Amino acid sequence: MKRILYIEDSVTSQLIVRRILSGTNEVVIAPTPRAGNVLLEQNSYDLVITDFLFPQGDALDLIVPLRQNKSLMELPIIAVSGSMDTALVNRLLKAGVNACMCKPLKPKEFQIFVERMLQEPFVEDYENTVSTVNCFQWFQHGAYHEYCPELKQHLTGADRAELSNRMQALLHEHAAQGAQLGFTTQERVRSYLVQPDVAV
Amino acid sequence: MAVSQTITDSHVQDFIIKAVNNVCSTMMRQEASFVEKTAEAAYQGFHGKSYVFGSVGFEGDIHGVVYLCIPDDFATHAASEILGMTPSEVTMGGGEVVRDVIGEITNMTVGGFKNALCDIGFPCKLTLPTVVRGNNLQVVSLKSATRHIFQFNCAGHRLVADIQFKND
Repeated sequence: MKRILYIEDSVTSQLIVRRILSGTNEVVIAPTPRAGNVLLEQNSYDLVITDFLFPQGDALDLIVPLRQNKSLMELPIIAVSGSMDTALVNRLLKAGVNACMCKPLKPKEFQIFVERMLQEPFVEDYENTVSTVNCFQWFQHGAYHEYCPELKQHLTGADRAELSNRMQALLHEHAAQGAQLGFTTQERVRSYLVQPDVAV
Repeated sequence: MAVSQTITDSHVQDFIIKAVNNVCSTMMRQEASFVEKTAEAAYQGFHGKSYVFGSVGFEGDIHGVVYLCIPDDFATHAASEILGMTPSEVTMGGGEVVRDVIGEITNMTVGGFKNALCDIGFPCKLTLPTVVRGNNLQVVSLKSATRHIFQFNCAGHRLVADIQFKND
């Protein structure tokens, strides 16, 4: 019998996952990433399944230290969340998660997925998933501008939609050439107050 | 990498219908049929009845909140279906059982809605769910937000999805 650690704060989801997986596995529940870390230090598991968002933080509080621990580096992790958009999938895969699934979990599909992961752990290929690339657009001196930090490309044009289409075409072109896009992990917008020199 | 300049009314309607259907059919094995898009008057029938309101916000390139308004008796029925308990076991478990189920249902529904917004170029993140239970509850309009109210029918019960958002 395989041992699965499921980290989830919702009692509803705890019951659902226990019902789906308990037949052939032992499912241990931890309500927070911190409690999950404690259990991982004390016991051995064949698989970790974790929700993403918790009242006290998120699953990265568990995943990052887990992947820095040499003895647990190869322990497979599946992240499940109702909020599983492509940007979050990429972020979690880059942090060391093996695979992601979106809630609500379809029982049969989820069961097969977990059994597959337990039999032969695999890693989802994020290069095949859709990436989110953040670009910045603004209007200045009668023209629209768009800058993509990842491509280091600055485009200008009179039509905003046409400009977006051109940037999207450029991103597709780079992706087709094998560029790994969507790696902006921290964005920051800074505002500067600039006062022009006043001629006296 | 999809880019969209505006969120149309039909985007909002399509996304919430898909999200509500997906959650009801997967979690409760019951179809939720879309009845109509309505005005605030949809809440008139709520007076004097006990309801559970679940809400989850989203923050990012677009920000707002989605309320799911569910009659109390249907919330108990949903909890018993999802947890495999009888309605009386759910009632005996106290309000916490229903609150957790509705919180999770709201989280998944708004998650589906939010993921669709991300796919058309409006990245945003969810907040934690909040659940309120009581009589004569009502949702207040957020200042300068766009509001959409949709009615659904699930197993003979009326559900309301009330969406408000601002797009900076």
